[in-house]
Amino acid sequence: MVLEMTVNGKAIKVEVNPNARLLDVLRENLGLTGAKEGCSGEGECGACTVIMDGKAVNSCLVLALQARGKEIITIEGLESNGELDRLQQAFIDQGAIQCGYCTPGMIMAAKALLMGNPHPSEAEIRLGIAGNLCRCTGYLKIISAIQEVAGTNLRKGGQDDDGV
Amino acid sequence: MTEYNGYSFFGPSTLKELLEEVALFDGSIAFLAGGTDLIIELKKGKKKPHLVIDVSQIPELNGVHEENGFLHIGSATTFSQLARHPLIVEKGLCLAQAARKIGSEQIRNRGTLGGNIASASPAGDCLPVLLVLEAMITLQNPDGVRRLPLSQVLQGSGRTCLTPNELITGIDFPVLDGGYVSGFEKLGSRTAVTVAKLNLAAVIKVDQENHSITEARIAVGALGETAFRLPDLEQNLVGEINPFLLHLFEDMLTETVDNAISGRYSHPYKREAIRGLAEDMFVNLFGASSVPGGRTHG
Ligand SMILES: Cc1cc2nc3c(=O)[nH]c(=O)nc-3n(C[C@H](O)[C@H](O)[C@H](O)COP(=O)(O)OP(=O)(O)OC[C@H]3O[C@@H](n4cnc5c(N)ncnc54)[C@H](O)[C@@H]3O)c2cc1C
Ligand code: FES
Ligand code: FES
Repeated sequence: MVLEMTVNGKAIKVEVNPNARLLDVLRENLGLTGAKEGCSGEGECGACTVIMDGKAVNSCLVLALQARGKEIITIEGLESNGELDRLQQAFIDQGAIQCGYCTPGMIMAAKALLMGNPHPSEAEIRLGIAGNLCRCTGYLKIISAIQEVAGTNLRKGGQDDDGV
Repeated sequence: MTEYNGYSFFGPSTLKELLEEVALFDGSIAFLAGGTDLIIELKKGKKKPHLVIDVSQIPELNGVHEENGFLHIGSATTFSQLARHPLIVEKGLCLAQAARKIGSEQIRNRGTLGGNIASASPAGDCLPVLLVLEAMITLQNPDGVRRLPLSQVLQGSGRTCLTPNELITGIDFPVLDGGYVSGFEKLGSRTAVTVAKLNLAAVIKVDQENHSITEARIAVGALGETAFRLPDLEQNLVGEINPFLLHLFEDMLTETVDNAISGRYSHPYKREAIRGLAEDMFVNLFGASSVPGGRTHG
């Protein structure tokens, strides 16, 4: 069946198997391999997180054809003109990436949170990424990275050094 | 026997289109809403429908509105929508509280109230809530519509009264006006060991002037095949609010656990744990000063 949707700002028309999930189509048909299947598609790890119509979703739990007419943003869509998104840069600067497996999903969950709430508190950040597992970092550096972009980095004295 | 070759997909944008397809289709059908239960089951081969019908893009099945003293909720309304919908927060707060505590942000953005009912998990978080809200469930197939209380829809663990070609279209319940308080508390997450699962919902009508409870509705989940109401406990809560009420509430909940799951592995844990939930519920409903020590919630 034909699936029409927008991915990272581009209108896409692609022939898909009705049993394929959004994750499968992004990775296999569109070559967007940032979203990962970390928990064999059980909704538990968040590594497959993408943004659909402004909201974070597990792309392993969306049937590809359910994305018809939707706007999808993947980690690949955050970069513009070869420049990393501020959130990506903050993850690098704060040392929030170790093995990197969780990172694309984590960043997309954080991005969705910031799109709806530009200045989340630490508690709101923790809630926003509660569906994303990271085995490596212990989350603190991830939270710092998100706080850096949100301008709520209290660990650094609450300064707003980006002028946001 | 023919080999299973997967399912076809139909994505209607109106209820009419959906019902027409259901009437014509010769084979097994699964309705797909948020997919947070079904897509896992399809992948594991636990369900093998011939046709999957997506209900997530049908505007008639989505949203909340108030009419003649009832709140009406479309079956495909998501937990994220319920968690912050002003009508739910104001007139059915326990449902907003349950929706906020489900899964993760990603699950709440997709998972729906209709899916929670149709999955009929013993621990489904909205089920005790809908029991205390005295919700009615509207079911429809090409032959007609019926409206049943939730207790009749739920038939056991994973079992409902829905016929194979029938879908849930809506949920409605009488609004809770200013005289009522309501709340939801739960223990444990899906990922945690099953032993820790327990949930509790309450709707209480308070007569402020006489400092008394005039109506109480309490339901528990994860203590049997389906969530259930506690009529004896409800009756015992009615009357003057006194300092012993929390203790009575805790004792009766422990007794409920004893009656429901004695001998089970989880029994010793749950009979104590439910007392903690009871205390959380009192703080939730009546404020921190309603429990000994006036502790803060948390
Ligand atoms: C990681 C994770 C965490 C979770 N946490 C919780 C939790 O904390 N609490 C909780 O209660 N649940 C939880 N769940 C379970 C699940 O999210 C809920 O049961 C949810 O309500 C299912 O809704 P859905 O729209 O995703 O249903 P779907 O997966 O789309 O469907 C579920 C079932 O209902 C049927 N169905 C769906 N809509 C209709 C309809 N309108 N009419 C008839 N049948 C229909 C489907 O055919 C299927 O059998 C969790 C799931 C995951 C993966
Ligand atoms: S692959 Fe783990 S949540 Fe989707
Ligand atoms: S950096 Fe390795 S899982 Fe998060």
